[in-house]
Amino acid sequence: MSKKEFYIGWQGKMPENTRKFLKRFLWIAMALIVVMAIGLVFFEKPFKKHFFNFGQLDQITGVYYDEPYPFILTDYNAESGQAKTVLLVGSGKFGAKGIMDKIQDKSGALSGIRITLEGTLISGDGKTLLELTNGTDALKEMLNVELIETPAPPAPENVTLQGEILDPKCYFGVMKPGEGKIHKSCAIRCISGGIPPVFRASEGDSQDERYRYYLLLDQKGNPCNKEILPFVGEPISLQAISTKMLDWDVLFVNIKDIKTQ
Amino acid sequence: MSANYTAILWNQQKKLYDRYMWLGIGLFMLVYAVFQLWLQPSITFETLIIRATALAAFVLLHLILAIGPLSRINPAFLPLLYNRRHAGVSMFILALIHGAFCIIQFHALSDTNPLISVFISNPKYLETSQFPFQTLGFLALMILFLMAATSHDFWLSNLSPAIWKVLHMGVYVAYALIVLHVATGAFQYENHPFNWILLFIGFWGISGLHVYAGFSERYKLNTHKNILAENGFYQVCRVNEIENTCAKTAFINGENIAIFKYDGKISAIHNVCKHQMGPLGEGRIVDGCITCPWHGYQYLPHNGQSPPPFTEKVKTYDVKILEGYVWVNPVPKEEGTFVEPVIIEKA
Ligand code: FES
Repeated sequence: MSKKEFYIGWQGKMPENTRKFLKRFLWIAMALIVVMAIGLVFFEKPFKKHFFNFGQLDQITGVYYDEPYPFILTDYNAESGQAKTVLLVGSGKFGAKGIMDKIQDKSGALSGIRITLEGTLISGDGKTLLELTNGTDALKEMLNVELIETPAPPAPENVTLQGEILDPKCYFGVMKPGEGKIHKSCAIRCISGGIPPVFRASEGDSQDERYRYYLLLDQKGNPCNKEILPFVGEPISLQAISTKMLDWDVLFVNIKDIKTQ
Repeated sequence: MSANYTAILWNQQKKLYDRYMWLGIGLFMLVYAVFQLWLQPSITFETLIIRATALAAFVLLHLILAIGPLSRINPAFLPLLYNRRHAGVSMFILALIHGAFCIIQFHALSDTNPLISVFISNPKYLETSQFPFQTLGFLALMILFLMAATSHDFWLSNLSPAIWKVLHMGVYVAYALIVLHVATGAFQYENHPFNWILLFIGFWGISGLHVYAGFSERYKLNTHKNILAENGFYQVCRVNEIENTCAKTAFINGENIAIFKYDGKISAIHNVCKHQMGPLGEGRIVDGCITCPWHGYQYLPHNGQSPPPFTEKVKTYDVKILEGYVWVNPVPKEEGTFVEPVIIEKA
C-alpha cells in the first residue's frame, strides 16, 4: 500500500498532512489577500473633493437663461462684475434643455426671469451645477423679470490649450472619478445627451493639479455636443478663441482645430 | 455520476471548500472597503462595488487558474481542485455584479440602449490607448456566463466531456480578455506601478505555472518510443516499480494507459476519467476501485466499469508479466470489457 496520502472529496475527512499543508497555504493566501487589498487602495489616485448632494433637494433662486445652455445667475454684482452661475442638468445622462422647454411650454418663456428651481446640488472646484432631479416639477417659483446688464466680455483671445473634454455633471461630483479613460464612455453618453461639454486645461505642473475650466461652444457660440464626441475623455490639444461668459470661461472652437494627443 | 439534472450535492468537503472560499472573498472585500472608506471616504457606493467586485473576481480567477498546474506539481493541492467549479461560479457572480453596476453606472439613463452603448460609445477600436476596453470585459463576462451555466454535471454528460472541456478551456480566452480589459481600462487611469507590478506578477505567474507543470508532466509521461515490442505487447516497467494500489502510466501508439497494481494483481485501463478527463493513473485503488484523483469517480480495475449504480465505462487493455517486467498491449478493448488481471508471481 502506498504511504502517500490520497484525498477523496466525497470522503468526510481530509488526510492529516494534506490538511496541514492546505491550512498553511490558506494562511499565506489570506495574508496576501489582505496586503493586496490594502495596497490597491493605498496606491489609488485620490478622488477629487467634489460633491453631489445625493438624496437631498435644495432650492436655488436666480435669473434664468436658456442659452447657450440652461443656467441660473444666482448672484451678480454689477460694480465688481462678480457673478455666480449655476449650470442646469437633467437626471441621468441628459442636459436640462428638454425639461426647461417643457416647463416653459406651460409657464411661458422664463429667460431673464428670476425663478426658484429645486434639484440636487453638484459642486466642485468653484463650479456649481443643479440636477433637475424631479423633472418638470423643478420650477418652484416665478418671481419678477429682471433685466441684468451683464458685463461686456473681455476681448477674445486666440489660445492653444492642452487638456480633456469632460462632462461636468459627473466630473464636478456625481461620479468618483469622473474623468479619464475609465469614465470616457459615460462622458460621451452625458455630452451626447445634452450636458454641456467642459474643457479642463491644466495649469501649473501635473503635481499640484490646478485646472481652468471652459465651456465649449462652436465658432458661432452654439452648442456642439455631437461634433466633439470623438474627442471626449482623452488628452487633446486645441486652438480656439477664448472669452468669458459671466463666471465661466468660454472657448469658441472649430472642430478641425482639436487634435488628439 | 448521473446525467439527470439533480440539485448540486453539498457534501462535507464541498461545504468546507465554499466556506473558506467565501471567507477569502469576504475578507478581501471587507479589508478593501474598510481601507477605502478610511483613506477615501468620498468614494461613491457604486464605485466601491464596481472596484471591490472587479478586484475580488480577478484575484479569484488567478487562484482558479493556478489550481490546475499547482495540483499537478504537488498533489496536496488536489482538494482545491475538487470543487473548483464552485470557485468558477462564484467568480462569475462577482464579475456579473461588476459588469451590471458598470453598465448601469456608465451607460444607463442615457440617449442610447445601455448594452448597445457599451459597444458604440467609444468607437476607437483601432487605437491602443483609447481602445473601448469595456467591450473586452463584456465578452469575457459572456464566456464566463456560458461556463457557469454549463458547469453542472448535467451539461457535462449531455455535451460529452470532450466538448465540455473545450468549452471550459474558454476560461483562458476570458482571462486574456480580462487582462487586456484591465490593462487598457482601469490601469490606464489607476496607473501606479504597484498595480502594474501586480498584473505582471499575476499574468507571468499563471503562465509560468502552466509551462512548468506542462514540462514536468511531459517528463513524467512514459512515452514509449524505443521500447521492446513483441507480439503487439510493449514493455513498460518492472513490476516492482509500481507502488501497490497505484499506477504507472504509459503513452503508446497514441493510447494513454494506466497500469495498476493491487491485491497481487496487475490491470490496465484508459488513463482518462469519464467525468472531466482527470488522470486516473494518478489515482489510487480504494475499496477495490480505481479512484480518480480529481473528484473521486471510481472504476473497477478488471473491467473499467464504475460500480453499480453508476454507469461510466473506460477502455481496458491486455497486460502480461514476463521476467519481472510489465508488458501492455496498446490495442484497446471496448469500454467496460473484462480483462483477466495478471497475477504477480512471488519471486
Ligand atoms: S475528472 Fe472528475 S472524477 Fe475524474
